[in-house]
Amino acid sequence: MAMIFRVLGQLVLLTLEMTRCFFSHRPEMGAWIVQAYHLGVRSLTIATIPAVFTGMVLALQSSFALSSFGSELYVSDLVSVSIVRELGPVLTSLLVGGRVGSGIAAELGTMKVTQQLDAMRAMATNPVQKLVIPRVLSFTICLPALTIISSLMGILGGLALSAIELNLDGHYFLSHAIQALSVGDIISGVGKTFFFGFFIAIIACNNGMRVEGGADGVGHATTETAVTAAIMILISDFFLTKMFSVFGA
Amino acid sequence: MSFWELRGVTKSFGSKQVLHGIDLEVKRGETLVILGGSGTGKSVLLRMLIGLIQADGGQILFEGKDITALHERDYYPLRKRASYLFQGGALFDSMNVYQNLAYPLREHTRLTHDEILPIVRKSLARVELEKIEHLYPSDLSGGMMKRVALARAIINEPEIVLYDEPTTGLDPLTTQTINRLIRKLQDELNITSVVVTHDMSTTKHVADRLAFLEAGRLVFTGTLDQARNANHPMLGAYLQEAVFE
Repeated sequence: MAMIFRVLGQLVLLTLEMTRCFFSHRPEMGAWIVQAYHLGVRSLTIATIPAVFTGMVLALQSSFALSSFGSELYVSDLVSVSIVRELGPVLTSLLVGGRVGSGIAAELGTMKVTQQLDAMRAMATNPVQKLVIPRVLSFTICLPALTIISSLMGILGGLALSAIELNLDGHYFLSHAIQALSVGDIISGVGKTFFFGFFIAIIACNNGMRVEGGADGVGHATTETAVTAAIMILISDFFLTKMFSVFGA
Repeated sequence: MSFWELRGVTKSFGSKQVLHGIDLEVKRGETLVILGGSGTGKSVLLRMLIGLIQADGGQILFEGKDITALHERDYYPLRKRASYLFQGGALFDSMNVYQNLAYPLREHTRLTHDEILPIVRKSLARVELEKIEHLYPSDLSGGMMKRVALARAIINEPEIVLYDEPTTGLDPLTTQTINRLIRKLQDELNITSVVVTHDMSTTKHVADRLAFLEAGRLVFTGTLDQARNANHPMLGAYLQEAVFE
């Protein structure tokens, strides 16, 4: 229990320092763009391929269940709402979060053990401003974008399977998939990922910057980041879904 | 007037006390060598001078001002005047040599790339390197890495340079080169230097004054000549090594 409070305290302090640096220095757009490429663009494969197959599996499984009620035509509604509201955001965050979170923790951890973070401090610069802000903000923006893309790919996967296996018309599937979605579904699904992105990146930066020892410490921080980020995503998913539902989304 | 004055400085990590009541003065323009075996607290002491680690007890004064426990940001004016050469070089491995050297200039000046490039080349020339601006740290040998780190440390012509084990892990010839460079920079730029080492050849080449640490206690401070007459067994053993070299 004490450890949970200690970690939460560290995250709050890092967030406060990040906020202070964000408002007291001009933004380094170059670093943001580089991080957006590394954390966002390079995560496209891991975000989209599983999404396509998840959409296909979801369409297949739901067709089995719905066929017993003679309601296979509702596969498109079920696939689109499930993917946009829940599966797309959570699955993308878990997969991309694992890749990005462990990458950030390993990078900053290696910088810590090789004294590169101390070198930054010794040159009168702040590692939070130079390293944490570009990573956290870029990923907080990139994850929702990746979620939108992966959700679209998931729906297309469901469409492909429905067309091939269930002989549903593609146009029918798409029009029903779109009709089934409300603005609230999209806001709830995508809105959550801003929080997930922030949580993953800040946890990874915190773990990376607190690495002690050598390669062993880096490995430990990397594993811990992947585990903590996954737990954080799943726990916060519940509360965020509840929060968005309170606001009507 | 002295730059630093340390009064009864102590430091512990967990239950292990690393430094016991250190009293030390670093005078303007001198090269002070902090000598001692591994794990005696030399690097900890050096890091305390610019606030990378804070002391648990005692007082650290810089130009008469108490800097023992400042907020991180309040160390920045001191860190802009003092450069630190890290034991492993601590070059940023995501940046090439040019970007590494340009880093302090980009952060603290408004110089453009065209203005920075000749300064980078001049700094590399000072450490006897050229045409390596495009290389990454992973492309450099240990000796080259140390020299590039030294070039980065002196690029903004600091008043003070702190060297943490500048020759550890280097072959004797590269060690000689680094020693010669430290002395040359000393003479050319009139830098105040604090050198942490357990290497007697470095001590012999660069020291104006010597501070000897043993088990976290400062047991001797003085010139090399005074050290030879100090009658301290451990210090004597180190000096003996210097004779053989």
